[in-house]
Amino acid sequence: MPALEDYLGQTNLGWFDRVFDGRQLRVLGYQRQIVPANWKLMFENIKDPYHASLLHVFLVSFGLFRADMPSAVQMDASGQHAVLVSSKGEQKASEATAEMKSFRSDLTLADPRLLDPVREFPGSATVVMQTIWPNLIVQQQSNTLATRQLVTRGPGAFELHWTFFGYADDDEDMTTRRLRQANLMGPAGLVSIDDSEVLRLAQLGCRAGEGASALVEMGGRDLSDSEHIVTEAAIRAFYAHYRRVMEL
Amino acid sequence: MSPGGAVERARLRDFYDDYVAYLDEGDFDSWLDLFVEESEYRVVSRENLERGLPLATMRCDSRRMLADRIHTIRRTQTFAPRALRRFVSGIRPQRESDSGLEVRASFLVAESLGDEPTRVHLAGRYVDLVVSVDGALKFRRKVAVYDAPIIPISLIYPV
Repeated sequence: MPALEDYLGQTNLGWFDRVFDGRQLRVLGYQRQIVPANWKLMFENIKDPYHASLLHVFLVSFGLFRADMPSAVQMDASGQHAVLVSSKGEQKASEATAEMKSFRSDLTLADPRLLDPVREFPGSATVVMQTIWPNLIVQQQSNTLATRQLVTRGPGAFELHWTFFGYADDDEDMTTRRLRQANLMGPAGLVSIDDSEVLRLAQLGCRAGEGASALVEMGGRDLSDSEHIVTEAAIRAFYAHYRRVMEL
Repeated sequence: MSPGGAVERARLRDFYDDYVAYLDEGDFDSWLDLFVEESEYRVVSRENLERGLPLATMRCDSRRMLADRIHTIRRTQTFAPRALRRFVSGIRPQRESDSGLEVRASFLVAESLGDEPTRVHLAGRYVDLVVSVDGALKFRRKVAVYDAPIIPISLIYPV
């Protein structure tokens, strides 16, 4: 059994320690949902960073996450863990957004307290999504800190157990900010609803073609890190590791 | 408002019937009108509530934030179409104070999704604060506490 530090590898350990920096954590609460899809689709979802620009109109329109933001996908040596790192853009139209079907420049909030993010970690990253083999997601999206545990319920369903947290020394404003931003995540999340709904549809689609196979090779077959997020390298690395573990 | 009177009980019943009908029919503008401007809306799990944890599954700190929720459902979210039907029973006025009348009730939400059989999506209780504004009842606070800790797939529309 390797030590946690060795298990995570240097890159992922660095991002992990960014949130779990030794300060005492404060659990804000739990959310759970059951999704009728294979558990690997959930990991694919987090390891496929470019879907966010296509699917999550909320994130794109409010400038929280876009494919044209400075981003990177990094893995450990084994490819079993991965991290997506991205820095916030602005909610403004550009040449790139003109081509984004999911961008709504006229969207505004009547009560902007819903977002109101503040910088709380060193560096420019505002979205850090870690997938840790075999079943843990650690996320920092603006000021929403959460873990998601995948609990499998057979090949056709999994549960997602969300734990939202902050720090024991957060002031009241920061706690309220985290609780409000939690509206974006979980079973009722303004962003994550898209994912659970689409995973269900993906599973329905797969089930219809049992025994059939399809192959899409976006960007070839390599498994290397990337300085942008229009890549599926982390998904390929995940499946390479999965096949090793399952001896497929 | 005298909470014990038969007339007031009937008026409360009508108020909750309107609430449910507007939501079920997707008449969100009328539904939003049932809240005062500075209102609180929460959907929380019983688990969090009983452990004293502040996290809500859906949280709106004003009527404007509630309108934002509705607006983003319509404009930004991707989900399979579904029919929801809400049932409210046991509407019971509790204490009346300067801030309003506390009302408790049970709710059940039935969800019909795609070609699957209808299932119970959520069940729980409301813990509400109702006020009278220019003769009309409104929510100052509405908290839907759901019993099971786990939600089937997703919770898109308010409870």
